[in-house]
This record gives sequence, C-alpha cells and structure tokens, in this order.
Amino acid sequence: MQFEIDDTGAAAHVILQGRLDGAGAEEIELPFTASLGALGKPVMLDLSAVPFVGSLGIRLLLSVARVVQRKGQRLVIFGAQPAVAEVFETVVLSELVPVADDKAAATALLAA
Amino acid sequence: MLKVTVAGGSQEVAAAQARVAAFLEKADCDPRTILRAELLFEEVVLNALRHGRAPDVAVTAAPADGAVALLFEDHGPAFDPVTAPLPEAGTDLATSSVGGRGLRLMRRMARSMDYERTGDGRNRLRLVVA
Repeated sequence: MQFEIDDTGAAAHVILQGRLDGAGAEEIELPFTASLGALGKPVMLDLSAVPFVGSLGIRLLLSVARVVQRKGQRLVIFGAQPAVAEVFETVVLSELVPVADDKAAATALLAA
Repeated sequence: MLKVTVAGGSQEVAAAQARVAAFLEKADCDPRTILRAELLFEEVVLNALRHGRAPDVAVTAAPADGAVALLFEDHGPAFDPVTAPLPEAGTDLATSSVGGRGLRLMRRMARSMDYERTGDGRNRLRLVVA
C-alpha cells in the first residue's frame, strides 16, 4: 500500500495505490493521516488504483477525513472502482465524506 | 473446497484472504463475487481474532452454483452477527464513530447468514455470497 501527494494545485491531489484491507490500512495509517493533516489545503483523494476496501479501510478513510476537517479543510474521495463503490454505498459513506465519480466532479464539489 | 486456518494479525489474514481468492479464481467464480467473499472473509476473521480473541479461525470456502459458501469456525466467546444490534452509523463526521461498519457490510453483502453456537463451544457461521 502506498500513497502519493501532489500539492501544487489549489487542492492537493492524493493518489492511493494498493489494497486497502486491514493490512494495507494499518501499514499506511500513521504516515497517511499525518501527511494529509499537515497539508493545510483541501484534499482530493484518488482511489482509482485501489481494487479493494474493507471495513478497516473505511475506518481509515473516515479518520483521515476527520483529521483534515479538524484543520478546517475538506476532503473529497473520487475514482472508486465499481466493487469499492458498492462497499461505499453499503455503508452510506457519502453521508460523512463527499464521494465524486471523477476528478472534475471532485473539483466541482470542493468549489461548491 | 479449500480449508485454511488463520491465526495472528492483519498480515496473516491478508495472506489467507489471497489464498482463498486464488482458489476461487481457479474455480472460475465471478470476480465481483470473489471480492465480496474476500470482504466477508476479512470481516469475520479479523473480528473473531481481535474482538473475540479466538486463538485461530478455521475457514472453508467452496464454490456453490455460481455463489461461494464460506464456513467460519472459532472457539471465541459466543457472537451471533445475524442478530447482534447494529451500531449507530451517524451522519456527522465530527462526531460519528469511525468504526463499527463491519456488521452492516456483512449483512448486506451476504446472500444468506446462518449462525450456531455448537455444543462444544464453537462459533459456527455459514455465509453464502453471490
């Protein structure tokens, strides 16, 4: 599991890569949460390279979104693959964190 | 049919999950069904090892008419995921619990769930996923 941050734009573009299962979530939890919390700008979290998200993965996404919110910023998730989108719908993730189909929609959500 | 016994933490669970997925792929199961099976596998096994403090969990996976049947057995304290109350999900990020969504996932993703506490003190959970 790895992540990459491009913070050159008005909003940071963060790409997660790999399986966000229990092992993957635990592997990146500390550096991921600390890095996104320290950005000081809105975050667009790109999940297009994440084929699997389990409940510990959801827990990580919610906790990082909360850290970003506490810093006065917003986090939008986009690009979920169909199987991952199904998991998000099942737990109604979008009630807590905005979820967009693609980068353009994520940008529009942040601008709203 | 594939039987795996898992002990340890998330790394061991992920390794066992990969073995089950590879077995189901070889059996020509639908990729979406395999992902759902992996999700349920992780949910049940990690819960039993962490919350139930079971020393290990034995899992049997078998393709069944386009679906996948998963049987989980452990010696942890009795826990019936079919009737356990669902934790409040909440709608406010600042105050909602970040965890507690596993049970909801399990119930929605499984086509059927059957639980029994066996006479010799085992949790026995049978899930069918399609």
